[in-house]
Amino acid sequence: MAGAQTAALPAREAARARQMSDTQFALVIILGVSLLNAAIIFVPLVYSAWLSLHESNVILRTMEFVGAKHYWTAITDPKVLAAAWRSVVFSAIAVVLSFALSLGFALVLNEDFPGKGLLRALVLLPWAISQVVTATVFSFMLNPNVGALNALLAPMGIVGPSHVWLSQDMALIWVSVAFVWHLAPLGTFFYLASLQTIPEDLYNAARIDRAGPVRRFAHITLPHLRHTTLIVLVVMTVEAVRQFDLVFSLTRGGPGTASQILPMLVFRYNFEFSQYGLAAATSFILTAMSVALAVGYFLLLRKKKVKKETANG
Amino acid sequence: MANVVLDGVTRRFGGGVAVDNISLDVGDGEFVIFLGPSGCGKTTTLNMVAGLDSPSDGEIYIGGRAVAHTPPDKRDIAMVFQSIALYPHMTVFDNIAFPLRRARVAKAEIAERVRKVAEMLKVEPFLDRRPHQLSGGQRQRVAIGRAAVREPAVFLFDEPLSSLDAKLRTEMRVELKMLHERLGATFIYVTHDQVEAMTMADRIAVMRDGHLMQYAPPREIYRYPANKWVASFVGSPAMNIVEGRLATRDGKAGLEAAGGAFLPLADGLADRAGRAGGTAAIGIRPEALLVAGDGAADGIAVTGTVHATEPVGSDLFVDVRLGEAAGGQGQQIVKLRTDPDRDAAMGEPIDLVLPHGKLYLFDAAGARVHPAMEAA
Repeated sequence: MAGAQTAALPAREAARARQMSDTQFALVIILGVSLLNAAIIFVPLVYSAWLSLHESNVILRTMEFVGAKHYWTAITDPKVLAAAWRSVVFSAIAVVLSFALSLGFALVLNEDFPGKGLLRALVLLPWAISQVVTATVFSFMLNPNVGALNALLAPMGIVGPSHVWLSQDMALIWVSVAFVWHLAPLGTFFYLASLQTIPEDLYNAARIDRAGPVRRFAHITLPHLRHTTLIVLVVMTVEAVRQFDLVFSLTRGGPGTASQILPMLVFRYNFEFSQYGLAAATSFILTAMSVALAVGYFLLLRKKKVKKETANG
Repeated sequence: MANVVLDGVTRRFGGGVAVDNISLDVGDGEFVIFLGPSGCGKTTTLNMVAGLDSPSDGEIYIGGRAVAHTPPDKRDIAMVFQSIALYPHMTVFDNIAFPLRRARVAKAEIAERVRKVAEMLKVEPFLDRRPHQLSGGQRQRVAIGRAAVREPAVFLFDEPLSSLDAKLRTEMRVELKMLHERLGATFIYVTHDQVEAMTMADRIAVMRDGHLMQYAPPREIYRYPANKWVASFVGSPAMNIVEGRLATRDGKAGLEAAGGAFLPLADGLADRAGRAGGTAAIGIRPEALLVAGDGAADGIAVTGTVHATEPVGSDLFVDVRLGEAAGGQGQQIVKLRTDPDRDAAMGEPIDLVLPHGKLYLFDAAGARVHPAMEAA
């Protein structure tokens, strides 16, 4: 027994010496994640940046450095410009409607009523289900021959029989609406979480201070939601600008190019026309658009705050 | 200025009764404190006075006007909340000015009144700051300012000091009392802190489980607690309550304490607590309990052993296990306040005297049967 104890001591010390310090341990952990990040994010990013500066020939398997040629092509190409404009329209409809609906839903769901728990869970569902499924549901709904919309509206004489909803003029609007259905619940979720952190006493204080429901909303609820609004707008805009799945599943960008938003065009350049360089350059422009919008929101909401502070000072 | 009357106010929630048939009147300009442990219904009662909640039964009168179902903004009241509840995105000035703006007071008058209140509450240097840039005490002053600027007839306070540290709380107690003197308005104040209640109130309404236990000035509540529960709730440290049975030993009627000790009572006193064999309790405050030989007070002698000591600097609190033999089952422990320089070792025998003049006697139902209240 005594022998075993003394023998164990040097062994334990050796084990302690072998042990890493906290800093070493942290570095090892971070290193793993960093390598993984580099492999799945950094490497493809650098590779596509490299691609965007080269002209590739699939048949000859050659790569030729062309500098900013693809970028120049992208910003002058009428196809890219048309797709960019459709992206702007699509994003504007999607973000404005999703934003307004999500705030409205959140305000309603924040009220106390029987069954609110179930409804709060249900409202997130459209966001949770796959966009391909959403597209399928909408394509059934909008189908000219067997669609629910025509079955409802045609007998009432509002539209003619076999009315084509996903038409040249309306396809972009309808894919936007379908995307709102997918996107609004996410904002609702953010807003609902934020609304629930507003202390009840603030509303009580305002009631005693003679503030009616409109004042209470304007002076307590809205200011409290400012930061959430920034997050919601950034997330929604980025989601809309880079949207692909739903639109691809619902219309493939058609009819013709009626709903061909920018990410769809990138897809076609890359996978249908094998113009890897141009596709890469276009997607960098797309990324720049998202970042610019996010920064814009940030500055806008920040500025407001600064302005208000100086106004009161 | 206005008085407040609660007449049979009851508030039921779902299956339970939060406030059960409370009737009391708060005089014009009086400072009344609702005191009780959490869940006793004091905040619910205050919310009903404020109009944030409505009574299920009963009526509330403010300045003679029935207001039980009047919205809060039409009651001429102002309230200070436990969570302080300042509007976080507004400056201190805007916070204090908010109720005046809602009441459409002229701009120049708002500036003047805000300045006056800010000066009174010493928050003038912070008027341009936002609540998050203030300390807890400053925030509470601003919240009081927001209430005071309206010059309401009735001020309601819901545990306004409970989020402050101990030192600040003591300072604010004095300031609130001065504010009350200065404004001359009616104050209704809710707290679970009996020191706050004792130091500030004109009258205390002691509540428990939705019932009003006693409504009286602080000194009266301390001297003549209506029952055993109030006796042990008000006073710090709490009054010692020795539970037992009424019995006779060696021809003397007294209380046979659970755990062994026998406390003989003065002639005739035991009869008032009930018949022999019935349960009763003797109460004595730690500051009234004496160590034998310290004072010449005439009282009940009882022996015990030192169970624990708590020196707090100015005083020494000694927990004494009552009864002859140490370590007996169910022996009751009483606390006494004594000279800080006294030596008391754990396990040491100690003889106590319960002065007759300081004794309380409670009957089986817990009601005080002794001492009788002296005519004022």
